[in-house]
Amino acid sequence: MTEATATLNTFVMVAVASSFFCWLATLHPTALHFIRAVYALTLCLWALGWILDDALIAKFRIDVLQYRAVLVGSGVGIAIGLGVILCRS
Amino acid sequence: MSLLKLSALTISGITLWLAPPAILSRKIPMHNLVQGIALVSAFACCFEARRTAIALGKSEEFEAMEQRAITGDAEDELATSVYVAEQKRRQEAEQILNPTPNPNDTVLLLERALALSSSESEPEISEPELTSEEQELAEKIMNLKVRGYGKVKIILELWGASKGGSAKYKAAEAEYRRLVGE
Repeated sequence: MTEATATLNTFVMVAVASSFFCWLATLHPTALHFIRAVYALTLCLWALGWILDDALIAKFRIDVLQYRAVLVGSGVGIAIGLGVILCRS
Repeated sequence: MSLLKLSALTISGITLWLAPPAILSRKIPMHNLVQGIALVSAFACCFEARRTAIALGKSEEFEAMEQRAITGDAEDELATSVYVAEQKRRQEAEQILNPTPNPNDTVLLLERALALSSSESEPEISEPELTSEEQELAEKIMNLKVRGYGKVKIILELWGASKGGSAKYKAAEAEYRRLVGE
């Protein structure tokens, strides 16, 4: 139960952080460029994480399922956080 | 208490994250600012909730370990008492089946055993083995005895020694006694 709550809160933290960065981007055009770059970098890292998953798993000796769950969770969290701010009234 | 705090923080975090963008307008600067503050608060709530959940999980794990240790101790104690009781019962059963004699009985048994062993172990006087000549002589003596001859007469007949203090008679008498087994 507590582990599930901790995981849920981690997911919400990622989503809230994504929303916060998106909200920052709405404040100033310069911030928008910066946040876009941050999102692009994050996307690149996320894609690299999927491409180099076997190598990373072998190097850091981590659990495959856990690694993929982190990648999926972070991707979904960032997307939801972004969507919450983009779809607001 | 911790569980309540955890639940409250999680719900607050999610509410602070989702409610302001849905309720407030992004075009009004004050609303926009409130949304930013709500997002920071939501992040703080989620962070604290996560930390609490991890701490609670560790304490639950520790409590489970403690409970396991207590259960293990109780099981050990129970097993020991069962073992002791079993040993006691076995000892009692052995005592019933093989009663140990009291000291007086032991003394009596030992004395009896000593008496038996001493009577058994008395050295038997083995008869010296006789030669064939001696055996013939012994047979002659027996024949003469059957005929009713006495010792003196037998000595006189076989050794040719008449009764008296002579050494020859004495030697013959000793030989006679040895053969007869007197």
